[in-house]
Amino acid sequence: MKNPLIFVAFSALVACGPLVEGNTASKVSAAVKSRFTQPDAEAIPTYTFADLAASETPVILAAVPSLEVADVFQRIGSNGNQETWISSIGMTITLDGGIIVATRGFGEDIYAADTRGLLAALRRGTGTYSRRIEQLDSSDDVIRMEFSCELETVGQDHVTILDRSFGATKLQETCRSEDVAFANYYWVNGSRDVVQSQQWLGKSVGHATTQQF
Amino acid sequence: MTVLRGLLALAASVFGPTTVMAQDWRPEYSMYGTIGIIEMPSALSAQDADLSSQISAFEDQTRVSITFQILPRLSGTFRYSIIPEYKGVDTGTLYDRSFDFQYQLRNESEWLPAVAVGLRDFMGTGVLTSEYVVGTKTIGTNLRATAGIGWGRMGSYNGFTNPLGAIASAMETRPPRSSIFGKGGVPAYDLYFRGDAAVFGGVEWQINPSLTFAAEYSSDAYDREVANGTFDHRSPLNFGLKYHPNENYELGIYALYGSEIGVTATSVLNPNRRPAVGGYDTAPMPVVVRPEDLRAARTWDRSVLSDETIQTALVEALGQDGIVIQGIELTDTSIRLRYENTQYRSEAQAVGRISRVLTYALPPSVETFIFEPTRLGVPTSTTTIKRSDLESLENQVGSAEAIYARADVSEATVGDDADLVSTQTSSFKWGIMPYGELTLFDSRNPATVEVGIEAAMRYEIRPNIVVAGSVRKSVYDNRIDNPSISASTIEPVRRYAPYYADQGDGGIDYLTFAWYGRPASELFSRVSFGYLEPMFGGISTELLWRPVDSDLAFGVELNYTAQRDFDQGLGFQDYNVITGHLSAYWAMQNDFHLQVDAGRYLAGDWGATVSVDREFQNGWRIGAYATFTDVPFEDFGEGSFDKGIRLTIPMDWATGMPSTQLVDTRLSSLTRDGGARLDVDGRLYDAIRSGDISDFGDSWGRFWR
Repeated sequence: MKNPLIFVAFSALVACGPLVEGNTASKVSAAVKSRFTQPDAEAIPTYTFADLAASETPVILAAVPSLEVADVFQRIGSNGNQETWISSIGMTITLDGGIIVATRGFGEDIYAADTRGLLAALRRGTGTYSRRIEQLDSSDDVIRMEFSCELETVGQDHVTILDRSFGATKLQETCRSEDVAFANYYWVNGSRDVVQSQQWLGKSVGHATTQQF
Repeated sequence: MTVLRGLLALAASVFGPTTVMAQDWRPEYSMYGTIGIIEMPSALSAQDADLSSQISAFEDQTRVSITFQILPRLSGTFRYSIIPEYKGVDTGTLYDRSFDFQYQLRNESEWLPAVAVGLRDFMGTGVLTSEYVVGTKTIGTNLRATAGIGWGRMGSYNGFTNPLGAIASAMETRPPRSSIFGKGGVPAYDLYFRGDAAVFGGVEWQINPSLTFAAEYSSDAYDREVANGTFDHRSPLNFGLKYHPNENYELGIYALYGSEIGVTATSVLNPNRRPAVGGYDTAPMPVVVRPEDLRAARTWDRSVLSDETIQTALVEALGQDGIVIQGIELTDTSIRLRYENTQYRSEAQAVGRISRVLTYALPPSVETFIFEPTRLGVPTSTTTIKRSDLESLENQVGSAEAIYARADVSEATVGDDADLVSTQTSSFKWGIMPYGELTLFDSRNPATVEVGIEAAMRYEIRPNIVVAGSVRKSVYDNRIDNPSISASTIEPVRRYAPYYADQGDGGIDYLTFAWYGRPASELFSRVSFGYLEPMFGGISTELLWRPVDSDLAFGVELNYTAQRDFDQGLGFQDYNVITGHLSAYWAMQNDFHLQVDAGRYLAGDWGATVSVDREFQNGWRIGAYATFTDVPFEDFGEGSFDKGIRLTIPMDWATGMPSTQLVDTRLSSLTRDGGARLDVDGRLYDAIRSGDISDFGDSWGRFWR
């Protein structure tokens, strides 16, 4: 009856040498350390709308309240109409016309998602359509959720991004599958571009907020 | 940062909640760690693959139980009971191991109850042995009623003549325990459902979703305990409250038999419920898409970008992702990479991550990516991915199935290394680290602990030729001093373990030279030489036939070893032995895995080991094994034959962070001599198989992570 114990915490403290590097214990200790050494809030510059809109590398603002993430995401790549944005700690959000089609690094991520019906409805200001959202589950299987969705215009609203406020049209999307229902909101400007949104990511992570320039 | 905080506040302010369907009332646990009321079972089953661990205690007994829902209707339980004053007041403590099975004959329907049949402690030493048939019906939404009939202990209170006596009158008499169990460990089928029977029953009332009240009429009279004066049985009625805030925990407190207070704490894991869901891996590079006009390029200008520059950049960039490149073959239109993935449990995820780095680093004319992941320094498969597929499938719904369908996975090449530019030189690694060993549930001591310092080194002359060794120095242990070994007719091999532990402190744990090879397509080989394990040294050879897309594999192993000195120095004792096995492996389509090893064991005994595991795509394995050899049960010692249960939990499942590490736990009797196998490192099958990529089920869902 033997059970080799992994002394994660203990190893992290006393282990040394190349054989030990890269093992889980040292990674856990690094992760724990980084969690307790978050950058000093004072040291982070306060941006203005003009700063970020003029940024050499395009950026967006995004937040996930359940994970206490709120960051400036930089564009690191594009594929067709999809643009991928990365946070300072390596999470990414991929947007297609302002709609989240993938996230990575959030734990419960959107693996991939449809946009066609929603994009068309956003242009018209209303519509019903189906949407598919995929997630990776605990068993490494890709789960495809099929939603019936409806988009409707809520009305004129004010959007505040950093130090600037302006008018935008607010739209509400409600989606329903067999066992889940959620509501998303999109704010579009005069040229029907999404400038702000709150979009559902998953059952446990909840919603993300984005603001575009 | 105030601005971003504002964004967070905005995010928190607006949302409609996600609506999720209400959960059903989950079955709850008894004080035996199985699904049940308090001491009595119910006919319900836990969720498929639930793995629960429970500690339950009242004055008379402490039980540690581990229950696994093997199949939706079949559960198995291992239990370790600590019974103080076993033979009466002021006598010693009994440490007893027991096993249960419960099979659900039918599910609950609208009008009819669920029905289950169970065997409790069916092959231990028989201290807790019972058999039962039980039915459970849910009434409305928050009441469950259970009634059943029990035999053995569960037929002892208000028992009546066995109704099965109508079939055969022999059923009316239960043979005495001592005549059946002997050294224990053998199913006592001569006992099952015999002797007096009694009825039991109870109700569970769900007060609110996290609190349940339970009441039962127990048919266990605690006859033996009452007779020896250690238990006061005043009433057959038990009452309890169970608190279960979520699906992972349950706490209970009980009033038992009118005289005792009992408590339980239960924790439930399920391989299909990963704490980090898909994992907290940092985001991969997005695919870098080539401009349309460059995709048709035939080559590139090597005076601007030399092959060496690309190779150096790849070794460095992939090294940061835990990919050790061993060889690169770069042509105008293709790249072949041989590498060891030290970071990702899923080889498909490693291919996906490397692919995306390649789209970054390679000139547009390179369209074909060929991957040769290695295990033990030997390539295990060849996977070909088209760059244009990466570009067109990224972030598309269905992209996981699509990239798998378009990838080509085939047998790894043999000896085709001429064009492979070697990028890995020999490597020497060392480390000093603490080690800990916990030996659980022994028949004399519930937990033996040893902790100490280990110094280890590993020198890879080439990726597949390795010299490795380790020395251990114990700092603390709670083993019994001045060990003695019991007399037996079998050659003492594992029975000497206490001597090695006692005299071998600071000695060589292992010091080996190992050479892994791929002599032909579908074949893998190993030669290990040296101090192979703490108790034996010599030479061990192995050959494995395992085609890349086959569910079947066969192996042969032949060893010549001698028993090492107790001080774990360089010397050997007189005993030497030739051992070896023929092995067959079958990964069944239903996620079960069967392995049979037949051959000769360390004590010179001949026999076979049968292992059955349930395997999960995310790397979990739960299984059991048993070894039968020509050593007679009565000579083997306690337990009659070697058997055990084993559990593998992947580190990345537990932490959510990428890792190839697995945590293995095994409960078995390692100190017996019959059916003992050489404990050599680097056996081929599990190592080669961990690099599997040919099946979509080999975690191809992780490709785009």
